[in-house]
Amino acid sequence: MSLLEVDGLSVTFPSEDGEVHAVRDVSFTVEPGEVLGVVGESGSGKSVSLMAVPRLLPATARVTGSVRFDGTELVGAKSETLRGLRGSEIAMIFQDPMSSMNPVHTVGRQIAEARRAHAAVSKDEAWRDAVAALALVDIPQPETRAKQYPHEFSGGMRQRAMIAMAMVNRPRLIIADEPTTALDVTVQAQVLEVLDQARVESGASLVLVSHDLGVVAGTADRVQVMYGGTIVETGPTEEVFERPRMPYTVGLLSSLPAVDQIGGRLHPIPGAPPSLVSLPPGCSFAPRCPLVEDACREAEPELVAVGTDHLSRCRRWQVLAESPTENLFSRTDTASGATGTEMEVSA
Amino acid sequence: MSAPSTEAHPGTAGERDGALLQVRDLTTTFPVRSQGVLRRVVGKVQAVTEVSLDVDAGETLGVVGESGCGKSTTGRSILQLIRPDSGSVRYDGRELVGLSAKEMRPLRRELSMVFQDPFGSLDPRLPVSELIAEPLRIHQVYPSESDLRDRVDELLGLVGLKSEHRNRYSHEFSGGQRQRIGIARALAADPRVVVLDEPVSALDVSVQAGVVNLLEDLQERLGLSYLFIAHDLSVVRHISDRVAVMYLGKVVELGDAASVYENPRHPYTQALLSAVPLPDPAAERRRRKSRVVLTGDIPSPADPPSGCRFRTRCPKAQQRCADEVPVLRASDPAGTHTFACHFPMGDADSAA
Repeated sequence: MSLLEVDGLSVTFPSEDGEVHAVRDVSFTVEPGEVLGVVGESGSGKSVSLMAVPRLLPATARVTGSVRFDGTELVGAKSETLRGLRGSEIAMIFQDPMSSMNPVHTVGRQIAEARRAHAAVSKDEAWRDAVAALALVDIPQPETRAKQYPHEFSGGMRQRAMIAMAMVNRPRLIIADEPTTALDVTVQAQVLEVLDQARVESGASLVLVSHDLGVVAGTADRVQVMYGGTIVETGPTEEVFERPRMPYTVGLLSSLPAVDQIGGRLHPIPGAPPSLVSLPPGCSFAPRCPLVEDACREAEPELVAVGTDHLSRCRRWQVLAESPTENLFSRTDTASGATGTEMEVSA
Repeated sequence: MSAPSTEAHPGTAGERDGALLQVRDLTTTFPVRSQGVLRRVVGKVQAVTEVSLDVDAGETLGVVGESGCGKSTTGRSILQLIRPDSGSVRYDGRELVGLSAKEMRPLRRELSMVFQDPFGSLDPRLPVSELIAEPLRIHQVYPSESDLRDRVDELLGLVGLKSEHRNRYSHEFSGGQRQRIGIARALAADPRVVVLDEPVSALDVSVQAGVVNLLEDLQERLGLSYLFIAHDLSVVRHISDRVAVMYLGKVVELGDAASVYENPRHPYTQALLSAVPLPDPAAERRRRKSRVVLTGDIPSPADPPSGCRFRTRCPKAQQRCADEVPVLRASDPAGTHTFACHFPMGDADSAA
């Protein structure tokens, strides 16, 4: 049985301009010990869809569909049920460690508190667990460091302390939302290594939400690409990166400059992501898609199998399978940023 | 602190004869003040230490490094937006260090800047036409309103926006479009040198690519010189002719982009390059196994390590690194690639 089964999840928020469809009919599973990467740009729904799992959403959010964790339904579950899971079986790691920690308590105390919130252990035991958790994430002199305050930690150390706090109750599922985005690249490498080490040691499943395709490429077993609030492509990581079957994924990959390549021209995706208040009737990527045909604008395509465990929400995926994809977006020009579609983003 | 030297040293990558912008031994410090009421100056943070570099006409010099390395302060010190403590910045033969704000004003037409945050750097109360016209009004370039109007339309077209956008306000635009407005504003008064401080960092990748292409097009059309400051090594490599790598206020390596990226000599450059995650699962998994993961964090610039500032995190550090400050020296006979390290990486253990 899958550890996490998300089925038909939708999240909407009320706004002055109308209902924001942040997540639309999202279904996926996470197996025990698996690493799932979730990629997408700002406003793609990648964070909201994962925050909906432990229901860490504003009170105004309307959540429908089903989220089953180890067989227990979480949508509509009592607050106590969710409180019992959050920080114990389901751990969260956020982008900004400074705002996720309490500045007036020592790091060790906060981790020990997290331990005591979910386990009947003495204060001394909890403290020892906190020090052990700090050691697990390679914090030097963990006994001394545990007695320090968050501001005495550097950015990378704080994020490692967050991982320690997430791991202290031996979670079965870790949801990491842009865990290294605020960090410098050499520190990011340290933190990713520590996260991987902690995950392997505990056997937990990891959902890694990131806008950075490189971070996901090296970490995830499977990847799901989100656009306009829904999953547009999903499959084994190598399969999706090497044989993308959704024009948006192709566009994301070809708009990246390469560190091992010089000069040349980048291929941006023309236009901008759709407004989640007024989505186009058909495929949400249709206004920016070089392969668009009339049928794409009429109805939103279904996710269809395009390979082994590989799904794409594109009715024209076969075009991508038959011809090389590198030049799909090469016709687009810099002036394309001024197209009418980009204006729709501003709300 | 060394005295300002305006002499060019031929044969080193940082310094070229007759470059449009010549920066020599630029040093900028910030005071550290006590917590009390008196706020006495109790120390100095060396944000930029003896930085020397040149930007030729029509060239892009990339400046990379991590937070706190002094790359942004370098850019601002060059434009005299932050007053450097010592050193020299010569633009087209004219010394900028020591000029008063009034003396600097006419030069600001020629030396312009694009900021990172397209949300914070545009006045929300001004329509786009006024945002772009503002620098033109300040420099009184177009006395007639109709000429000014034409120039604003021309600039909008130049950055890929439409003239009907002129009456909208910045909040009505997406991030990528806002950055285009910021670029139009920076180009309004016909600059020759543009300092770009993380111009695409706040943008999603698909939008970032369009802005990078735009910057390249504009450089070609207008013959601009760019000082391109960014932490994203891939973007810097893509856009730069030459690259300077900074660590804790100092330039540790400088040279042609291809040479620095393919044959890094400084262990910090190598660590930086090997830490960049590649969007290629197979390659990335291989790299993870051989990655040089630096331990520790960047030391405080208020109290930098003696000798080589990187030595506290360097896998190759020895006693000499603590005793002796390494100076920039040439990696190749032509002197187009320099580095500051006592025990540099050889070709055998390069990152690529």
